[in-house]
Amino acid sequence: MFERGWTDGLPVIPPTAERVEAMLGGRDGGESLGPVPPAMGEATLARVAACAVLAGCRPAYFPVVAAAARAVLDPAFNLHGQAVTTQPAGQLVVVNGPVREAIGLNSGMGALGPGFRANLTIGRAVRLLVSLTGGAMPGAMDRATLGHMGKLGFCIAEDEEVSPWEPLHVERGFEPGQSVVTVIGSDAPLSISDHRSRTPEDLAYILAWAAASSWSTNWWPLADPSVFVICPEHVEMFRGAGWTKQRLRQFMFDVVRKPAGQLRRGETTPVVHAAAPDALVPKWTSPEAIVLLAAGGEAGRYSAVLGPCTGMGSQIVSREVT
Amino acid sequence: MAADYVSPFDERVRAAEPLAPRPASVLGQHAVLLDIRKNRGAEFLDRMETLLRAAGAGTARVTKEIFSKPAALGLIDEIASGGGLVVEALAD
Repeated sequence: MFERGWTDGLPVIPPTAERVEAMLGGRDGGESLGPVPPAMGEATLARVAACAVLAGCRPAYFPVVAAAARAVLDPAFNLHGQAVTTQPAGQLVVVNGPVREAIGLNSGMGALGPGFRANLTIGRAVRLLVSLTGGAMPGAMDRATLGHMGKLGFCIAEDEEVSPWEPLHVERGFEPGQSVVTVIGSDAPLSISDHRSRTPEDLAYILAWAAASSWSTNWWPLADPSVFVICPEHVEMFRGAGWTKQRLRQFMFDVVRKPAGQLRRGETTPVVHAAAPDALVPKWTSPEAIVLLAAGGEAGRYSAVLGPCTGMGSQIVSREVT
Repeated sequence: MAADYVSPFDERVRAAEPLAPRPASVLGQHAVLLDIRKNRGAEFLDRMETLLRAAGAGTARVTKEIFSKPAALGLIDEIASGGGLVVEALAD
């Protein structure tokens, strides 16, 4: 497999015809999901299944892999830009709905880390599709200066049971009982410790300001989505105070502002240059650029923020798992 | 016995597109200057436009929708029919 180049650098499971047929589960392997940028290799379902086999997926995961493949190939996601950019961005796959429990996706302890085959292999299958069928291997058409470990595979599930909030897929117009994959161009996670806040306002301030240096220290405002993964103990503080996702999002948007004059150093934006020195510039262009997810272990007050893939015109895309 | 694998690659081989012949001189040529909307690309094209005109070439400016997506087919057609030379400003 290494000699053929059928790998992301780690050992893989050989995609024999029998394994690919089992992965397809009766689906038509000749069905095309379209070209995979940047090389524009055609994503037949059989090739998507081959990537799932290589990644180590169980056949039960394939409906999620196929939905994620359809999502990343939506032109609105602009996989082309994400695949070839010098930015580090990877493709974050967020799973909501009953399929999470059905296939053993972890949304609890270590939700952004190792230990769970479904999370690790689904994300890896998507990345193998981009890297192999799409030709975006580092040093070839993937021109990322550094990249990040999420580019090996980056699949998380939202903990809908611990959360008092509407889950992401419901916010995006799906029914709670639907299983849905949502893809977001994302940077690596930055952990945010807060064990001391005693009010939701203080906690929201700490979480929001942790993102102040996302993308770049003085690059304000960001138009593309920053993803906050809120841990259960932090969620509990907001639940106890009756804060909705929208209230938290609005507070975070309102609180992270700086005078333009303090942002005029090194790389900054036309917005900063055009503003009066004492005019307050927000970190985000709107509250909608803040995505909130609930996940993580029940103990420990560590949330995280994942910075955006910036300037690509990449939109968040969701697809139902069928 | 060799295993029967399903390749993750699209194995179709595309014929390489040959480069168009390069003119010996830009004198009398018409050059299309493509701004992909990367930071400061326009500054590079401004300079190229000045040099090309000084060398006797005509110029036209066109712009991509966004730097991170392939150019629209209509824009490619416009470039192909609009001149014998293309200068693309890539990056900051």
